[in-house]
Amino acid sequence: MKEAKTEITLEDLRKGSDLALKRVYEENRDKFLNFARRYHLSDEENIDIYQDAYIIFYDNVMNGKVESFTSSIATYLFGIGKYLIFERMKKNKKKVSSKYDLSVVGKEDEVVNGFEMEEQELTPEQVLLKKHFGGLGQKCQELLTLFYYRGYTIQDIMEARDYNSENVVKAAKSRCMKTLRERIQANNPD
Amino acid sequence: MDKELLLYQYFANQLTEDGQKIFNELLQNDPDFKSQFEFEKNLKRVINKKQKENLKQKLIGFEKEINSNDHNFDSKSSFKLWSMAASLALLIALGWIAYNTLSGPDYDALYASNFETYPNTVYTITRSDGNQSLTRDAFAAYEANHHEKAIAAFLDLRTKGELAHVDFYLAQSYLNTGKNKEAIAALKSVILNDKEFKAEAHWYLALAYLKSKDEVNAKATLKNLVENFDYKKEKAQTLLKALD
Repeated sequence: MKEAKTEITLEDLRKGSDLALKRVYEENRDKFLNFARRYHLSDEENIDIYQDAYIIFYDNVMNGKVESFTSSIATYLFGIGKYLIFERMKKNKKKVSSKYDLSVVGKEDEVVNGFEMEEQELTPEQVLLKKHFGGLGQKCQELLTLFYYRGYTIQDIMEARDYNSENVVKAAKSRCMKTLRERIQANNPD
Repeated sequence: MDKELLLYQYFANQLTEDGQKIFNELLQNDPDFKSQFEFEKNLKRVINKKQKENLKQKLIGFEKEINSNDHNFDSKSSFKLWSMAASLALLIALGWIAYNTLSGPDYDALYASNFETYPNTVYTITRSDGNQSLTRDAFAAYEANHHEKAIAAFLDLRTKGELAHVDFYLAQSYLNTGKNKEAIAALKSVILNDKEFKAEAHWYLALAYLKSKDEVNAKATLKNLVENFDYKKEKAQTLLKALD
């Protein structure tokens, strides 16, 4: 069995290392595509599903639901992938044969159950927020992303980005939020 | 308590039990607090969405790189490759004829170049498995390549009536420890009883026959695989040609 030369750790992924991101993507790609082939979707669809499964996996690493690699990354990806494949088959109105019944998946469901699989549409408010978030300066976007997406505390942000004190980070965050609110209100004066 | 601090603690996952109570009360009774909370919650959702979109773009980029590497390899060095391949094919053909007249195919080499242990795709090892500890032990040993230990645990599972996919993984561990006869028996059972791994079981059964130098059964199983399933179809066809 082929083993990774140096183990990619959860920390590498969580730090946002692009190198780790790419290596994990490449290392599991062929395994996944080989596994997905049995469901008779096109290669393009399988690649699209692999990417979506990878995104969900990564998201769950970031939000802390995957706290340690107790299983191989492939196992997580297969678990999510299987769910997405069934969704895609339903969407394509392909009959899901009983031989592919989700109940057969068994214990792999543990991965599926804990993760958020469905991507909800943004509400009109959120669409507006997204537009104005994208218009903020790079520093603001980064700071808010570290806090709301990467789960950094104020202290983590201070250390990671060389701020002088926690108060400086707090003040910067408040300013960013204020700007965001003001821009949304200016766009939507009611 | 400071409302700002409560919101901060909520989004930093640091709310205490008491804090959570106050937080819930404020959410019900304080419209300003609720509106601030909704705003931050929406922001979190929006940032998440944006990150996912960025990630998708990156993955599409990786995919393009993979394809263009293949393509570059194809076009740039195609002539050189063809000439090399032609010489190599001639050499191999000559060697093959000479070798075949003296002996049969090198089953061990064919086996080694085709066998790869199937990854654990059925059991997620988590820390809180409780009563399923035997299944956990089996797959933990399997993932760690401790196949003797995995065999013992899989056999134990089988006697306890846990049949789902056990035979398939048991066969993998048998193949990894050179127990071909046992692997063949387990794989036959998979083909009969486990629809989900039927195609895969054919492939590994063919390899197990190959390892046992049973060319007739190896070829029959490969033909069966090629005719009825998609799994490893191309590899099976190549292997069939090599055996002919």
